[in-house]
Amino acid sequence: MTVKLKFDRVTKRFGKGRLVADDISLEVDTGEFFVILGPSGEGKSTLLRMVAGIEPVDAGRIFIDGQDATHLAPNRRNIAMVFQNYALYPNMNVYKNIAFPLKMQYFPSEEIEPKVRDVARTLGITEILDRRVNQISGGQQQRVALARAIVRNPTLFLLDEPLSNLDARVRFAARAELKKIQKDLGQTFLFVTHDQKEAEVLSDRTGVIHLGRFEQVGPFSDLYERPATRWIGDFVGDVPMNYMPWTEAGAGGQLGFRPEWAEVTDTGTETATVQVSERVGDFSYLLCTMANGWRIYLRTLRSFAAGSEVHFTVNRHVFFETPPEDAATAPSGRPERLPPRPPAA
Amino acid sequence: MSSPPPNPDRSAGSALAEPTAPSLPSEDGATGGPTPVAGDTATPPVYHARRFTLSNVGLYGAIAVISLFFLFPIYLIFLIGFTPEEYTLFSGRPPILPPQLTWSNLQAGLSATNAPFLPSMYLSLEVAFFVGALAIVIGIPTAYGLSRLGSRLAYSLTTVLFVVNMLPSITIAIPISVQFIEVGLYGSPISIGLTQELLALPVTVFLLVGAFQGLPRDLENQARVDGAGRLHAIYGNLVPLIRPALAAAFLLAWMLSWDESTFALILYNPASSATLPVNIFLAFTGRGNPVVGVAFSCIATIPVIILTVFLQKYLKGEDLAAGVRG
Ligand SMILES: Nc1ncnc2c1ncn2[C@@H]1O[C@H](COP(=O)(O)OP(=O)(O)O)[C@@H](O)[C@H]1O
Ligand SMILES: [Mg+2]
Repeated sequence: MTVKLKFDRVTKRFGKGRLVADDISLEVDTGEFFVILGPSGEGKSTLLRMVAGIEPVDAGRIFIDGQDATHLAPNRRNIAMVFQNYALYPNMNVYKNIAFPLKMQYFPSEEIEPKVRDVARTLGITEILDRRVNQISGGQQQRVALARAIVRNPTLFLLDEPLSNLDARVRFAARAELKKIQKDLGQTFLFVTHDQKEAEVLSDRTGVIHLGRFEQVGPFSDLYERPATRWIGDFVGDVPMNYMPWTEAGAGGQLGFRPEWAEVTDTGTETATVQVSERVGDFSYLLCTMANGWRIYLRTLRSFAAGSEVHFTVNRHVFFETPPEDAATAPSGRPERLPPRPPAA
Repeated sequence: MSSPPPNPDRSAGSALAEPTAPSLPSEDGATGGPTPVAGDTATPPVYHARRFTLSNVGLYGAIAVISLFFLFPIYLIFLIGFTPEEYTLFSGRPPILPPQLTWSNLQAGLSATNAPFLPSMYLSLEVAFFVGALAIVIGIPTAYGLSRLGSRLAYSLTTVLFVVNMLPSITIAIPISVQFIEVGLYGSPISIGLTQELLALPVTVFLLVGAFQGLPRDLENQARVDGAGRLHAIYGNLVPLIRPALAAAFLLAWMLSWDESTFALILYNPASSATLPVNIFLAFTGRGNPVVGVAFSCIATIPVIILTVFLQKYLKGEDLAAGVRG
């Protein structure tokens, strides 16, 4: 595995604002589909733009293919980028949009034509090559932007929320197609999203960015199964994690568990009071309060009325040790500052 | 309830398990009463033909009054231009409609020996196109640079550019003339054009800064990532998108020069010819030959009309407007 892209202690802030990138180091392997996941405004796009060279780096270095690219002009980096709004050139038709990167590399026009037609066929946009870019649908615009990125065979693709402007139905198909394209090309994709579903489906590895740092980097299943911090536990997953005070190996902290990691039985070791019960399909989802006032979610096949007691056993958990200086201010209930959660994909 | 319940398949990682948003049974169900279905009895919408209502009359009336207000002076010029002098300039009560039409005023004006028409027209055109073209050539890079500074700084700097426009022309025209005499360009089209550019450029830059700022920033970034150098990104990708603003800026600069008389008069070298406005001015004042002035005025409107019609399709920019997103 060779390293395709490397951030070496990259730091960035806008004006006197907070650090958007705070001493970030990261390596992305060749051929990897790496997703940068995080809530809006956490600096995901900025990170991508620094790789593209359209946003200067304050400190630290960025290496592409082992070469220091920190100060390289964008047109010398041999990368492709798909912007969130696709940034199609409005004064050119679809064909010319796709041909543009080839023209910039001074390909003779008899070589450009077959390349454009080839990539258009792959993406199923052959019929719209003559259209103006404002005469095609959002899904088609996304394909054109992708075609323009692919056409000159770059080895590093940067994609900034390319699916977020699509209707739910189109987005679903586009997501699956994107994964296939990346596999077929075998090239490195750096993909930014606030949508954890996209990270889950697309990524080889996901890095969750928070307060200018990668809070956790790893396969998406690790983020869900073994969140490194409570923030990750709350951010990843459809609902925030459940927590109970806990002591493990002499250290105080909290035990975190997902609803499906707990089993509701009459012989359960823990007790909670049902506040709200919702029936979805076979399952009841119970929003409960523990004796100490903390709120948790449970999942069960049985029905419970609001106000009744429920017993459960936690079969799997992760342990978050409370740092000693935090112990005094350990949360007394369900954390008030839940991360803003993205809408479902 | 602040969060939806968890999705049972969450950990299974299935791409197909899109979370649905379940909800508690709605209150309607409990009441059990039949709810009328909206739209059942709705009649199809009726489309009214556009009526000539009272408010429309007022609107068209106002438009007519305003148009008259602006067009009347032009009408007067043509009236004097094509009516025998005895009914207009030498009459105590000039008519509103021409009692008789004639070409003789125009002929007299165009053949006047102390103000040869053709060289004057040529000089005016030369200077106006020079001013218009230079405004675009300098305006594009200046406006691009300003538009990338952030709007507040750009606005302040553009305001500073207008300083020359705020001063009375005469106060700067004289020192400038002295300079041009020293370099031997006094009275040349270049000297007149460069001086008029002082007035035209701020307007042009102001217009173009707005146009550049209106473009999505990522279009330029996209072009750069796609392999274009900075100059190509500006002139190949951005400039074609602000064609309407360029056409407007060119037209404004051109017309500003076409009209301008103070600089043109002070830089007028009697050894060569004067621009049209200067000749019109001199015809009414120094030479006391109003007919020549009126004839020149009539003809001076023609290039303006031609140019406006020609640039019309660029001014609209219909082909572009819808394509610029973000
Ligand atoms: N050009 C800029 N000037 C000033 N602040 C900026 C600029 N671009 C982004 N920011 C700020 O930096 C932070 C990160 O932005 P961004 O990278 O776009 O976040 P994300 O893509 O994760 O939503 C935001 O708070 C945003 O307001
Ligand atoms: Mg973003």
